[in-house]
Amino acid sequence: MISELERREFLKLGLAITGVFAGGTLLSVVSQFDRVFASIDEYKHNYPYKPHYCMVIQQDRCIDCERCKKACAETNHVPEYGYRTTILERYVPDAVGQKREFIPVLCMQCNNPPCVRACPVKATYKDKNNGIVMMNYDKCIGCKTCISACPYNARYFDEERHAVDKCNFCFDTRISKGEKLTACAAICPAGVRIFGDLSNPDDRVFKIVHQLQVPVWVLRPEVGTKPNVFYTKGLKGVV
Amino acid sequence: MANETKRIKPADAFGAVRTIDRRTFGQLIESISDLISGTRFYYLLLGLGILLIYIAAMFGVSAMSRGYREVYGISREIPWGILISTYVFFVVTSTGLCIISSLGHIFGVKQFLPVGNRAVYLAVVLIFAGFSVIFFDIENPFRMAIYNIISPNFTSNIWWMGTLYGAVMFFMWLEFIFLLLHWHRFAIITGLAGLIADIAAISNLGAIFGMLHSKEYWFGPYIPIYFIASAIMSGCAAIIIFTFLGYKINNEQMDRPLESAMQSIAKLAALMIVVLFFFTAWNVLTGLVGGEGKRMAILAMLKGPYAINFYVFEILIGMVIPFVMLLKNRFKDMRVLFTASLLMIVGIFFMRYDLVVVGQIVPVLYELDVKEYSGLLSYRPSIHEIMLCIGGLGIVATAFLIGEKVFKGHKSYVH
Amino acid sequence: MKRELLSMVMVALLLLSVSGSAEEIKNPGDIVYTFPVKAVLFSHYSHVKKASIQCDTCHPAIFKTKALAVESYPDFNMQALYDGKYCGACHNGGYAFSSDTQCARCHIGVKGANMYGEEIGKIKDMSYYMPKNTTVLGEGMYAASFNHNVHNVFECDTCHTSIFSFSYTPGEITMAKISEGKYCGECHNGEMAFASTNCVACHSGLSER
Repeated sequence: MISELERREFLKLGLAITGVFAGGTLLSVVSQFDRVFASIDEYKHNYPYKPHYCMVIQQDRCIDCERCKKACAETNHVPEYGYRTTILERYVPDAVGQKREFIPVLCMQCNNPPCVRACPVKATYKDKNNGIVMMNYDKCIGCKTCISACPYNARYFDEERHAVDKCNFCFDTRISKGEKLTACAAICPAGVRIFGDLSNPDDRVFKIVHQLQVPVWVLRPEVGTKPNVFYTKGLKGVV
Repeated sequence: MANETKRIKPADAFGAVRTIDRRTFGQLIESISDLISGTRFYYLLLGLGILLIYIAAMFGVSAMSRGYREVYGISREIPWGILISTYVFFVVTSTGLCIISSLGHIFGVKQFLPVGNRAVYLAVVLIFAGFSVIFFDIENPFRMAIYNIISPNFTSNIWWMGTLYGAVMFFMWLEFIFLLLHWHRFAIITGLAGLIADIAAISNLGAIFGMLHSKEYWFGPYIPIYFIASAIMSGCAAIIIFTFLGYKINNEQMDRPLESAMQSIAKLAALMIVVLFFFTAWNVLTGLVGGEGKRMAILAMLKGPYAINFYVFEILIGMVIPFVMLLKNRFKDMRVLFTASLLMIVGIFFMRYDLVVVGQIVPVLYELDVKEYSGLLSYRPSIHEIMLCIGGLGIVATAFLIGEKVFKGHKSYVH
Repeated sequence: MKRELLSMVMVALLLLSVSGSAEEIKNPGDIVYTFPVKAVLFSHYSHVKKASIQCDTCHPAIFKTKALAVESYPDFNMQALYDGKYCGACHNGGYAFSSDTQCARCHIGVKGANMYGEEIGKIKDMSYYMPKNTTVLGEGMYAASFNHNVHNVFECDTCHTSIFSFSYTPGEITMAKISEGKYCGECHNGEMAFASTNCVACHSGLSER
């Protein structure tokens, strides 16, 4: 027989092991790159994007200053009622020490984007060169199916553009003009958002995604979207 | 069936083309004069229908000028509201009507022939009503007309659904005209094309939801299949309602074949209630043991904010009460058939609403365990959305009333 | 039937009204810094009540006795903390958790700042930490009593630590110094507050004579 207290402690232990504190799913305690791409070789052979833009988010460093949100809105003319990126707050009252964490979210630029499949008129599409999920505002009929299809709530209807709007890694406003970083990554005071080229083995994002020391995970891996936004914690001193 | 097809030889059909008999035109002119000579009550109803359309159109224009974001209850998290569910309600019922009409016209089940013409006509009307409602949900409907053709995405269910329903509307109109002209061979061909397109369209409509794997409640092959089964029930209920009302408006007595057709349809409806009951039960039961996303949605219906919609409207009004009524009456009294069908249709409206809305109330990032998405999301239809749906009903009512007079109670099956 | 329907509606309404989760308690004396980043929470409660740290551990050596004063220092940033200044004086992994870990333990972000709303920058309810009873300085019949509650219309930094430090050394305060305008005499000069010649107002022991 075990006492109620022991039982509770045991349950708590269970939570810790399944990674509730570590990030929400069991998957977060193991490195995810081999799930996202079956292997490095397969990835190298099969991914036609060059550069293959991606972002790594150091979740434990986000302090919700929301400068990224502001910079994004200013750079990409995001109306006040919408957002391309935002910060979510997770609050764990029974955690030891730090009880809250902030989780930045944005378009995951999925390799298998549900929104692109769902769009009836190809108004949203996967860019053949760099893998960014783009919007063609002129084609958008506003059926909002892509908004429903997105497992990450990354899309919204923009009344000003009169089309669905979403994050495109600042491609039109910065990257295509020679800037190296997205607006959010450039302004982040804590280095949370690491933007880079996953097809370049010398790039920091490549090294982060392809190491086994600290966990790297993606959101909602079960929907099979193969995101290009990765999350990690405890990266300091590793890469 | 055999007799029917044998009688209509190609030569006959072409003969008909040559001699578009005066009778048809005469009939039409007579019908129009008939329309003018309706009773006061008829005009009152017609006026009401047109008034509803007018008011809804005003709301539609206001919504367009003020922006849907401001006047509709939809949001980033719940982008589909009552306009979508009402659209689904209309087009699924339309498919049901198409299936009912095809039983007589195409599959030669004689018993169903008497309601065939009215079913075809109403199927067209309901698709049109559905399109009218969704017109005010789609932000750029005019772009759709262009890019649906020049930039099609063949992997998109929305594309297939839109295109197929367009085809359905085309074929069904043709079928209806051919039926009026007694060109039965053409009517059968267009009817069959319409039926195939319609079934494909409705399963694609279901697949719009079923293939969105971001929403656990919808994802899977359930909805496309459920829609077809549920369409038959809606079609049965709708044709009973409209046939009953049609005879009331024209102040006529139903003849024996029609009564027996109505009874057969009511029996089919009762059967479909049972089928749907199993669909619903297993959807709930499987959902309860599945992932958290679907479980939460199901629980929202079982003991959450959608419990009244589910128990009272979907189960009691939509299924149990009409089923008991029909069985108790042994499908005899037309008034019981009508009342039961009316209840079914109300229930079905709620089934569509719940299917669309409950599918979205669980936040997609729920399992991230963040404050922002810690509970169910809520949606409440705005007055603009509700008025536009009522406008859709206005279109159905008006078109039905005009149709009853112009096409003289849709009795051209008698030949 | 009607009543049942009504009760069902009531239940549904009840369920609808149950929303929102319990927020963190705002403790007395919370300070929300919004510069250089929005926002950082300093909790007096955690430090004084939970960790039993005395006022003069930090004031005025590390922080001025005025809330948010440190925001005006150009080097008030994480680097300074890592170098052992400000919070970093203790939050170095030795006395307390290191300032380069558990970021969101202090950083409450824009969301946290919004929770404080209008109260940002106003330090509230510091009286919670003041001595509740009358403070008695000195001994015997010359003992003087001081009541914080009577004086709590002033900010902490009105007296601390430009006039009084947080601790009292016996013999430090004398009537001579007070009449020169030091200590109590800064205010108790007959103009701002009653004059220090009103002996019994503070030295209640003298009245017994």
